[in-house]
Amino acid sequence: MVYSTKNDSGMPKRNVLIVEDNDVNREMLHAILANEFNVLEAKDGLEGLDQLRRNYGSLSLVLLDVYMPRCDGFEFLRQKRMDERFDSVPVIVTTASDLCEDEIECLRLGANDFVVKPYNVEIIVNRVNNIIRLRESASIVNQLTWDNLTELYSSEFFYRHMHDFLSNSQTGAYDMVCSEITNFKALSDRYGKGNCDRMLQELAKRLNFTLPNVVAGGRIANSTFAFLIEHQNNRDWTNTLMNVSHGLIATNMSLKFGIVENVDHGLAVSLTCDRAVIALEQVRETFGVSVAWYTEDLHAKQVREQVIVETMEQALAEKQFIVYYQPKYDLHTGQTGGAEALVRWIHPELGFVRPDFFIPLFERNGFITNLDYYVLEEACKEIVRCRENGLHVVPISVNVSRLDFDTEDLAQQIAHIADSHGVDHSLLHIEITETAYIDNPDLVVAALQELKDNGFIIELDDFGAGYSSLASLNMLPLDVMKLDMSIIRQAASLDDYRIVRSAIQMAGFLGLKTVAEGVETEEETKQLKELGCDMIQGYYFAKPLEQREFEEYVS
Amino acid sequence: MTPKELYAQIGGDYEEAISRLGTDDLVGYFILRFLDDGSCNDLVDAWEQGDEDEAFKAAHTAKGLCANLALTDLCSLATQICEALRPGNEALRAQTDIDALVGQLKELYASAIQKIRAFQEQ
Repeated sequence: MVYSTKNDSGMPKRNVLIVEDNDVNREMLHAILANEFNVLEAKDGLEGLDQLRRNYGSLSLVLLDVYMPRCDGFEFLRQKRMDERFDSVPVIVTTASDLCEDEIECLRLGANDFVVKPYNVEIIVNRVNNIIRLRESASIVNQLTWDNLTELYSSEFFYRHMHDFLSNSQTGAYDMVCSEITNFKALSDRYGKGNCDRMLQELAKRLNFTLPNVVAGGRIANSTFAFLIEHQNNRDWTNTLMNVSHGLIATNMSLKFGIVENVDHGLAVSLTCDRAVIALEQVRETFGVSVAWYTEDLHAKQVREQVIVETMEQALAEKQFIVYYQPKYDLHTGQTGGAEALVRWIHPELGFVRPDFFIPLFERNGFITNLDYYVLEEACKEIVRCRENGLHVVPISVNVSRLDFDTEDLAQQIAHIADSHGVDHSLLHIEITETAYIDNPDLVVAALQELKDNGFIIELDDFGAGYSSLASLNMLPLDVMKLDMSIIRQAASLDDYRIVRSAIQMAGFLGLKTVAEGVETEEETKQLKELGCDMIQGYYFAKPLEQREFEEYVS
Repeated sequence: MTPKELYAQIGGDYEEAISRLGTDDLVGYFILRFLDDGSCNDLVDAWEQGDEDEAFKAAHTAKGLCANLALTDLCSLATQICEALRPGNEALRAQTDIDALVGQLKELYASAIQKIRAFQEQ
C-alpha cells in the first residue's frame, strides 16, 4: 500500500483503517473521511488485526468501533499492544456510549483518543489529523535523535544535547574523543556495505564500552564517532585503544583518535569535534600512531589557515603576493642563464607567510591555480620590462601546479598570456613536479606536449625528492631536469656525488639539460661543473631577488 | 419526495444529516442503506426471544447508527433501551418499561421503513 493521491491541503493522503462491523456506519465514516484520507475498511477486530499486520508500515491511524462480533474493540487493542511493531499506529475509538467506562477502558488499553457517535465531521477529521501529526512529529524527533545504524546519537542531536549538557555543567572538565576509520572507503570496497555497517555497529558499541566515563556518544560522519568523556589526566590511551578494533572483520582497519582535552564549554560542540578531527588528521597517514591531541600549536596553525583562506582573494587583488626571481647560473658560459619566479606573501596581519605553509593550503583548496596565473602574468611583465630597458633578457621559469592541469585548455591559456604580453614562448619555462604526472598521467602528458609544441620549455622540478619515478622521466616531454636540493645537500655532506653524477648522466642520455638546486658553496659548484651539470641555482650564486634587485642584477 | 421531506415524515433531523454528509445525494443514499441494516430488527428479535445480552448489543448498534443518520426519534428509543439494558444499570432498568419501548421502536421502525421504500420507489 502506498500514498496514492493528495488531500485538499495538497499533502499526501495518509492511510486510515476503519474497523467497524456496521456496514452503514462504516460506509458513512468512509464517505466522511474520503476527501482527506485513503480509507481501508475492516468488518470486525479480527479483520482489523489482519489489515494491521499487512499494512502497519503505511497506516497512519485506526478508527476503531467498540462493540463488534468475533473480536471487539477491547480485544483488538489488547492484541495490538502485544506487538511493538504496531506501536507507531495510533487508534481513535468511535463509540456510541454516553458513559465513560468504555472510553476509560479503551484509553487504558492504549487507545489515543475517542470520538462519539453521531459523527461530527469537523471533530473527526481534525482529531484524526491532529493525532497523525503528533505521531509523525514524534517519530521525526525519534529519527533525529538516534543514528539509524549504531546505538549512538545522530550528529545533530549529539551536538545539541552536548551543548545543553556543557552549558549546564560549567564546572566539570570534559574531553572530546573523535575516532575515525581512516581507510573506511577501502574497507567498504573490499568487504561490502553490509559487513561494514555491522562493523560500525560493533565498533560503536565497543567504543562506548571501552572509553572511560562516557557522557554520550554520537556518529558525526559516516565512519567518525565522537564521545564526550570526563576529563582524563595523563591517561595512557595506547593501552585503552589498542584492542578496540581487535577481531573486527577487517584486521587492517586503520582506526585513529583525535582528542580535545578540557573542552571549552562555550565553543560550539561541532567545532570541538572539528578540532578533534583536525588532531586526528595529524596521524591519519602515520602507521603505528593512533592518537593525537589538539594542541596550542595546532590551534595556532588552524587560526592561521583560516585567516589565509579568508584573505587570499583580497591578497591577490591587492598584489600582496610579491614575485621574486632567483637567477640561475650557467656553468658553461659563466653568465646568468635564467631565473625562477618564486612567490612571497607579505600578509598585513600575519607578516611574512612561508610558501611551504600557504602553497599546500592553496593546493588543497584550489586557489593555487589563480596564484599560478598571477605569477605567470608577472613573469611576462618582467621579461617585457627587461627587454624594454635593454637589460639581459633571460628565460623565467614559473611553477605550474598539478591542479592547473584540471583546466582543460591549460596550454592555450598559457600561450594566450604569453602572447598578450608579446613574450617569446621559449623565454617561459614551465616547471612541474612529478606529483602532477602521478595524479593524471595522460592529461598531463598531453598538456605538456601541447606546451612543448608551442615552443615552451618544460622543466621537471624537485627530481630526487620524495618518490621519484623513472617512468615519469620516460613519459613526460621534458627539456630540463632540476635536481632537488636534498640530493645536492646529501652529496655535499657525504662528499659523495655518485647519485648526482648518475642523475646528470641519465639526464644527458635522455637529452635533458640539468639544473642543480640549492647550491650553497664553491665546492659544490666546482663538483657540479666537473660532473657536467648545466646550470646551478642557489644562495651561493644568488638568492631570490625582488624585481628591482633582479633588474639591477641582469643589467 | 425529497430526502428533506422524507426526514420530516420519519422523525429525523435533515439539517443534522446534511451537516454530516455534506450533500443531499449522500443523505438520500445513506437513508436507503438503512433499509439493509438489521440492528433495529435484531434488537426486537433478541428482546422478544429474551436474549438481553444480544438485545443490549443490538440496541447499542441501533443507537449509534440512528444517531449517525440523524433519525432522532428512533435514536431516542434505541438509546433508552440500550441504557436500561446496559450491564450495571439495574436501577434504571427497574424504572424502565422496556417492553413498551421496544414496541414503540418496532412500530416506528416499520413505519420508517415503509416510507423509505416509498421514497426509494418514486
